[in-house]
Amino acid sequence: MAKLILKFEAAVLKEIPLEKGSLSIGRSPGNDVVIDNLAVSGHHAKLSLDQDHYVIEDMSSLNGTFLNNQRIRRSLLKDGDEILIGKHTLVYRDEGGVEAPAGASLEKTQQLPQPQQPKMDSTVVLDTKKRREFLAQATSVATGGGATDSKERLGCLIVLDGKTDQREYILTSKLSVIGKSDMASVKLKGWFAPKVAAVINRREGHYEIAPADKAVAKVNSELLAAPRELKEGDMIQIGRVKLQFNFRE
Amino acid sequence: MRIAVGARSDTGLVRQKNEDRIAVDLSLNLFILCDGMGGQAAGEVASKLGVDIILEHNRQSARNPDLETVGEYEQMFSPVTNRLASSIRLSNQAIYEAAEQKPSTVGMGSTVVAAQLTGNVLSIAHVGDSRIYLFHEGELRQLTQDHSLVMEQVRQGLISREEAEQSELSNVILRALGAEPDVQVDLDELWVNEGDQILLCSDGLTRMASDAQIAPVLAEPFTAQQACERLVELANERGGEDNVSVIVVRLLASPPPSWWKRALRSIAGGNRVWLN
Repeated sequence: MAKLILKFEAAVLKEIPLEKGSLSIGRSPGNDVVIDNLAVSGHHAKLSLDQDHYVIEDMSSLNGTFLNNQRIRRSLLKDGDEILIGKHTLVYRDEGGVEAPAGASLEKTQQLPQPQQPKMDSTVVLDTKKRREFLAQATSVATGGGATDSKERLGCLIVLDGKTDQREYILTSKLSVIGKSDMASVKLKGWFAPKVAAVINRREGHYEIAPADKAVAKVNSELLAAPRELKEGDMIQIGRVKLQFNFRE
Repeated sequence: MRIAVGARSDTGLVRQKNEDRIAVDLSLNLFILCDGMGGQAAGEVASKLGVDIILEHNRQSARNPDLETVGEYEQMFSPVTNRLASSIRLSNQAIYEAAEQKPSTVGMGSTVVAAQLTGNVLSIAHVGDSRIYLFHEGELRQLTQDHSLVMEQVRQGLISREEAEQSELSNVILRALGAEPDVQVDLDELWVNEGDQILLCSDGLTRMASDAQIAPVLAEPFTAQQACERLVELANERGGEDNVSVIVVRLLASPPPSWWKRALRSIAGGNRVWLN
């Protein structure tokens, strides 16, 4: 619930919970908040609820109502606002909203042996602005930047011989599996076809073929035992299936 | 595919709280690690929120494949990988919104690495400077690229890897969950084989121990859990300056084939001969 804290200089005089829709402030005894000081007008200011926000309104007072050091006629209040009337201050507090971070975190820090200042080695994130500045700076220094803009070439496999489910495969996926397995995108047929013969990885315009569990595939008549990059025209052979690798624009 | 999984999260020797959080879901073969940041208790809040939402979104999607996805669907990747990305984007939104609610959580964030195994296909996703490694035939290969200021400088060719490791700015990351309303998630897919091991870890391990020190631990004939304990020990022996979290996933060999399969193979030749 929202409240007002009445202060004179640094001393807190009173806390006023805001239970009503409106609240009058002034020197006259009839006010909800009475401030007995000659600088305060009889009916000085009024606090009222406008939909779900409290609003402070000056009632044509002689010395004026100040919100955060600015003279106002009518203004919406938010948590932490300071209303100056004469020499008294009313601090508006709304716990439902976002509190001013400074006051709240200070109380807690005192219980902790650690200083509030983050330690040098604790992780921090660069905010967007700083990061953009940094990246802009870094890319202007580095040579050959901007290669990512060009469209990636797509590789494809053309079936020259053997039983497969399609005649041509365009390798759009990050990972393409060749074999009889359900997970295979290049599906081999036949009872004794290996479940997974080879795996093709797509990486920024390049394709790399790797053996799965056992070396069963051949690339350009060589048994595929370790990963290698596929080049235009490479011939992949698994049993009787022959696939040719090509790039397409 | 049979797997063995070990996991361990430790406060380390210097920090007072553990802001890392890990989760393993064996029915989905899903592994998540978040390293939270932010003052007071906020880091813990962020990493917990991250792990919980990623887990929940993937679990819901397993029950309901039509579940709405957060962010753009990338055709290049499998539905599993896309779902992983979707869950991470959702967790980003949640952390971002939660951070704005209270002054104590303003500025909180988290890194994330997530991996999911579907048969032999490993889907990985990450934001920040936590890492995923693949240990394959004795070699340790980093599958993720840190979203850190110094590693970006290394990639741009501005500084060397050695300079990066010594840099005072090594704690500055360029992307994190909760930092902005939207997050760019790095995705990848790869084929993994029996005998391979997957390591997910927070920077509490990799800033204390080098790849050359991590690899021998995975090569030892430990169980996956023992390997995790040993890696945490390793980080603590070398200072334990940060929270340390590790998940080790081992891809085990299939059980020996039944007698009739062996008999059939001896006649037909299994994978070696292929008749049409």
